[in-house]
Amino acid sequence: MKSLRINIFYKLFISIILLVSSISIILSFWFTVNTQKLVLSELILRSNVLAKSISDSAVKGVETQNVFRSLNPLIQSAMGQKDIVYIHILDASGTVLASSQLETGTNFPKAPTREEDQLEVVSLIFPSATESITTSPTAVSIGSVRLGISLKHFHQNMLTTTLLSLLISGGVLIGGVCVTYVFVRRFSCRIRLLKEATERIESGVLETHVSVTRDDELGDLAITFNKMADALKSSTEEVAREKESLEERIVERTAELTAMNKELETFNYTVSHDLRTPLRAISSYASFLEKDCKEALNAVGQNYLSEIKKSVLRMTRLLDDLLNFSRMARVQNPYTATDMNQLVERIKNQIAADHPEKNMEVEIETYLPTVYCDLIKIEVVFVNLLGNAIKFSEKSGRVPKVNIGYRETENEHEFYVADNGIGVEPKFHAQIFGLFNRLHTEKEYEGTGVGLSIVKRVIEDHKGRIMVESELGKGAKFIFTIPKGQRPPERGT
Amino acid sequence: MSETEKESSISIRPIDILLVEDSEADIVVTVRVFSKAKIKNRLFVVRDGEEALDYIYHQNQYADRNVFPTPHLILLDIRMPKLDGFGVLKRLKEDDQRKLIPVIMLTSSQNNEDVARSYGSGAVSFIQKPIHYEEFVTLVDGFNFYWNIINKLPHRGA
Repeated sequence: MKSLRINIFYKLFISIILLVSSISIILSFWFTVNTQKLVLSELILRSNVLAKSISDSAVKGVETQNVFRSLNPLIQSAMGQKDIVYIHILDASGTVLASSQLETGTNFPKAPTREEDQLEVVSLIFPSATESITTSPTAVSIGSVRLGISLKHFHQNMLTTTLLSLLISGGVLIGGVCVTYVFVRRFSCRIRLLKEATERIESGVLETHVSVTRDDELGDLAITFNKMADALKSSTEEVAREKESLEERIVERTAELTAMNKELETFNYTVSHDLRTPLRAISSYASFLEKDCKEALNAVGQNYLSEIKKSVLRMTRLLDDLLNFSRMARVQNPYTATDMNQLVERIKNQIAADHPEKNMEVEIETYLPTVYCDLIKIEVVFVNLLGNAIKFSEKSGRVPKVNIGYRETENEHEFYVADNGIGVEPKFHAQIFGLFNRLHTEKEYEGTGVGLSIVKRVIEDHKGRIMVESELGKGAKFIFTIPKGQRPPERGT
Repeated sequence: MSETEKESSISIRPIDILLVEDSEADIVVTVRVFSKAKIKNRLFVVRDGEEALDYIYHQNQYADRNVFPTPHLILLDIRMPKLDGFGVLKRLKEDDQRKLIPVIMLTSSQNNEDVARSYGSGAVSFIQKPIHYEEFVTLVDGFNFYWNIINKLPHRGA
């Protein structure tokens, strides 16, 4: 559910307005009620004082029953007072002695009808002799003064007061609204400026600054914001510079690598072309010598000649192997799902067909899986390993026996090629994979020392590992792995 | 019909070959191999790309067409001083008159890119020079048999 989004301006505005209006309403209510109480009590007090003074003045008149000369003028003068509706002077039995309304001599009704907006104040009249003890409960009153007070003015006043207070609170409210509006407006305007500046920074305009107009928390925020923007800008520039220099270095390095690759290409070409030309000359002239000047050469000379021809053959093989090695390193064939069983079976048959004179046993011990790899290169790996296994088993006096097997681990396919040949001393294990490294003379075992280098290179190209388990005279077991789920590396050929 | 009769019944007019080769040793070997072959072709030798163009266009010392006839076939090395094999090939293939002369690359290169580039530039064959003389002899026998007997060349008159 999406909650309603309310602008912070309205939130602040409405909260302040609610606060101001509730305070002014409470205040005006309190003011009105209090004023009413105060005015009313004052009215009552004044009436009581008036009634008391009338009753005091009426003592003589009541005692002498002198209604006309004493009491009536008293009533007349008292009636001049404001808000007085009526005055009754009664004797102790309740008979009206003088009144502004009732007839003299009548009995004052026990439950007199009273107008709605009137108030009645009663003051007892005590005889003059006992004046000093009027408050005494034992004193007996000789009459009473009843004063009717009109509340009309009071109500009118109260209405005016209420209206006035309402007016004032209304004024306060309007004033509050205006002040709050201006204040909140200015406040939210500054916040909006900060927000917009933040958005500009977010969109990448790092030069954005906000102006600092006031020295307050928002001003502090603006200063902090500007500092942050500056820091962001400088760090972004730093990163950009860093990136640029990194890119430059990458370009440089790429150029270096390209140059190195180019050099390697040239080297390749040199090996394949330039070294071959003189070699061909040596070989050809040796042949000419043999054909044209055979009679001129004695046995020693002919022996030398045959050594030259042997060296030429060996040199040719070296060049071919060197080229094969660099081609292995350079050329990248697409990876395919390769049935290793089929592949090894084929190589095995090929070797048997190529060397029908050789007596050997090649056995695939376990079923080999299908592996995603560079078929052409992996074929070279098996050809070289099998070739080595046979080569170094032939002179051991036993029938060469080669076992090929497989073991699956969690992440890798693990293959091995084991033989019963002459084996490799552990101290030479690392050395045998090096280019042109050989442990035997050409006379003992022919070869150029490139085969295992190529194997290692291919396996490492597949992100696999190769190792050897062997001891002198106890055969050798070459183990290599190919990671599962291989994909060819992105590389041009 | 005996073998010799069969051979003589085919009229062979050996073709003229221009060998463009900078290595003196290779020239000696190639000339010797061709001279020992069963079919004797005439072999004219130039030693770099510019000379090759001079020869083909009958310029400078090669102006005499009787001494230096237009070749039926060119054997072209790739790596040479001044102008390399590809340069020569390009010039020839741009020329409507000369582009029909078959060019065969004869080189020490084993480079796949060179092979592709040669065919792409209009060479009709790519032969890697064997290192050993005996192999070269075998190769040239096959070569001569193919180009003199099996293959039909343009501009061969009758």
